[in-house]
Amino acid sequence: MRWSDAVTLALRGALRRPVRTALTTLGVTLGSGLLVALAVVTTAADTKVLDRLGQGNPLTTVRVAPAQPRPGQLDSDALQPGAPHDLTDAALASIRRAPHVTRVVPIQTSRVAELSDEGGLSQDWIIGTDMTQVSTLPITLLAGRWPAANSLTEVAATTDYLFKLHIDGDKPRQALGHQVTLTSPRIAAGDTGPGQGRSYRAVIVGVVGQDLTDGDFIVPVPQVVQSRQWEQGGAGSTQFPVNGSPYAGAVVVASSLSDVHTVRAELYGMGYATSAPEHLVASVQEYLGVVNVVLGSIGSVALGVALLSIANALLAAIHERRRDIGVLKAIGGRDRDVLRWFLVEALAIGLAGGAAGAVAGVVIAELVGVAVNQYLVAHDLGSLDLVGVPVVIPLLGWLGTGLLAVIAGGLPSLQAAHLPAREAVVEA
Amino acid sequence: MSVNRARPWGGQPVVRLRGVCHRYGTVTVLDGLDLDLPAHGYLALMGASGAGKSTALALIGGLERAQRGEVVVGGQDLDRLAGDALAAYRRRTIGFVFQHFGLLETLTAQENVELAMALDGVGREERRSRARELLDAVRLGARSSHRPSALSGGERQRVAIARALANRPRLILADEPTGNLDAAAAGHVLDMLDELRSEHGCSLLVVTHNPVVARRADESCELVDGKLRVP
Amino acid sequence: MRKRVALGLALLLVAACSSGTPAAVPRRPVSAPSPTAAPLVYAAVGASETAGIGAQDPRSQAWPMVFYDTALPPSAVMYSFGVPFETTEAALNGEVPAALAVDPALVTVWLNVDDLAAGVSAADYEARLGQLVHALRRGGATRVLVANTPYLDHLPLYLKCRSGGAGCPFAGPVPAPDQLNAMVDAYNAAIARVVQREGAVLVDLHAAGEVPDEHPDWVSPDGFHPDAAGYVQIAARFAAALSASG
Repeated sequence: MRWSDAVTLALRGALRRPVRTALTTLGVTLGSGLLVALAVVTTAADTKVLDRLGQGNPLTTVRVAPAQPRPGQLDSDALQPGAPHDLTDAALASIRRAPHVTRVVPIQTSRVAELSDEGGLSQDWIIGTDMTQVSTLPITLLAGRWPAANSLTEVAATTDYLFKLHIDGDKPRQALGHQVTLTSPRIAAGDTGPGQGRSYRAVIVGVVGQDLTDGDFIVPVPQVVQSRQWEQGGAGSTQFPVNGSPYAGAVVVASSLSDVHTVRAELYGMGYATSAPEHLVASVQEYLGVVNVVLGSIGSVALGVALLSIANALLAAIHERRRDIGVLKAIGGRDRDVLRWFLVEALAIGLAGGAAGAVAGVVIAELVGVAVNQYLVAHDLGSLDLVGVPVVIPLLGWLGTGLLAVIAGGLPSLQAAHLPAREAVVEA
Repeated sequence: MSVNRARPWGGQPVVRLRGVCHRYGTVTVLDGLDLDLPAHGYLALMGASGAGKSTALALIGGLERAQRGEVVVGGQDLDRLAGDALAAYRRRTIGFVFQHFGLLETLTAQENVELAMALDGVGREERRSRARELLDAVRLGARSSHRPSALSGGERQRVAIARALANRPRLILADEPTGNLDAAAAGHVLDMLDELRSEHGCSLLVVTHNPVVARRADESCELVDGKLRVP
Repeated sequence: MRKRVALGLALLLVAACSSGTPAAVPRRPVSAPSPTAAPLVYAAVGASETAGIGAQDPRSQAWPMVFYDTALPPSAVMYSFGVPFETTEAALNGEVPAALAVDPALVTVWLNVDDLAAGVSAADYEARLGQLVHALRRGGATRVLVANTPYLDHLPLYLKCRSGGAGCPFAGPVPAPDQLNAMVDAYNAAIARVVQREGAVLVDLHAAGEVPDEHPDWVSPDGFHPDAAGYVQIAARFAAALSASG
């Protein structure tokens, strides 16, 4: 018997008892739908919660400060800087060579005075970094775009600067296009006056939230380099001390979450203070893992019950069709023809229930995501966008349910296949 | 496609049973049964209820294996057949007609007839054509798309006959083919069986307890105490 | 240490144009700096007034900052080298090399009052100024604006010194007004010759006349330097000279 004939027999057989088939399929739908919904929600939650922890940046980043670490610093996620310890080019090169380090992004700062709209200068810092690697850093773009990598006239303003512009923090776009005049001072030794200055104008092209270091502007490296070169031509003053350390810090990217501690230990050995959310991430991951196991177990039980219902339905069908099976064999059907017939029936129920379950699971997950987000926003807990379905989950749910249905229907199908042909002539 | 006659096998009986014994538990159903059915022959096997008629049919049809003795059908020793070979024997050598008709309720008349050919791997177009031809031969061409529940008892049995002939068997085994039919329908079915047997050149073994049915056959015999008694 | 007080006098200049005071210009250029335009480098060489002394916030209110903010394209970069008490001789050794190092396309020079107060002769001043402007011009690659000496004889601090007050900037006895004016005229003649010879642009602060009499509120409390409002006017004078020079 060809598979197409088996499909015809199976589908006709399933539809012979439409109510029983519908109920069995519904059971499969509920089980697979619950599992798909749980998988989607937990996957999205895992990703989004961990993303939130990492402020939208890779969780494998380690911040390095130009300072010595305090004893026991590795046991804490927080930066605990001790005495100054300059980060030099040689030190950065050593860090790059360290095992499990994939990337090192240095941070440079320069003190500037910014000419405000009301007149007068306010002291600021510009934070220079490689704009091509900004996704690695604990910086989140809130509005606009990143400055071009080599631009001397574009800056991204931090949320601290919005306050100076009297712009509501919820409306960062209002700062876009605003022009700033930044002046780097150079104070000669013994000079008590205003000193010399290098001034340039830049336009705010983006607004960011950042956790790199104090500063009002994120700028491309060329801007901070020029500013620092000018500044270090003088001796500095109390108000404008010269920033002697070559780098204000660095962000080191470890190759994986499990390597973060190793990288931190390596940097600790080099004599640098570091911070990374490794303990927090580990705690959250552990918690999420427990949640996943519990919810997964619930879903698995539900699906297991559904699959048992397939087996039960199949057994009932086989009992009803004993004579039909006997006739099929009597007119020349092989054992495997009968096996194929009933396995296809189990597969059909599994795929139908699995498809409906995948759709239902996605819908449930989306509704849960919306409800959670509304709750968080209503309680001023920030928003956490859990909406969004990885396609692979419902697809796997559908196919997996079909496969499991075949497995569940295996034993009954084998039983049917081994029924004697004599059933054909047995009195009903 | 024209009706083909069964391939001639020479002068040997198409069915030969020698010393066949079979029991169910402690009950001996067949006790040294010897039986011959000649080629193109029409034999009626009679006996009281529980005499072992259906058992003999099952043994000849390969539905069961004789516990002792020899069962040779169409030159094949059934004791040597198993698994797929046995299924092939049932598919190509035998055509079954059951008292209960044996049709699958979920399939149409045409599909029931095609099922026998589908089991033999016949292509869709070929089996469709042959099924139509056979249904026309049993005068049910206009009801080919009806399911068994929409057919009368006689019509169902005619569909069963068409299915039995689908793979050009050498032997048709009919177990009480008129058992569930009224007298008129029974007569039509028997006429059809005989007619098609001749047309297709196959042998026919009818199991019945009804002497009226038995008298239609060329020969008849009776099972008594597990043995054959020729009247 | 001999106390030298810069006698930079920012004369409050009334716009000479028949249209009256210079039109108010927007504090910031309208267009944003183009990320691809080559930046114009502007260097301001000078003394205390270039450093913004006298203004409440020298770094933001000094006239070079106002000039940069209002008269130069958005992509321009400014280097302000002003050092209080700076003479032309000191600038030759300090500010000029530093200014040349930044490769400027535009330089403003206001160095005269400290030389005058230090008693540098007009001839010596002319030689040093000529050397300075010649170096900054770089064979014509740089446009140089040179400010001359404004009137000094009506400055509050000068008048106070003439009557015996303390804190006078002059190295020797306080010159009489006609003597002071003669010195200013000699300096300005030297400046005019240097400007002519070197192809620089003259910013005529002296043409504004005795501005302290008309706008005493444009003079800072120290009696010498302009205040923020005064620096705005000076910046406008430099902007006008730049614009007039093409």
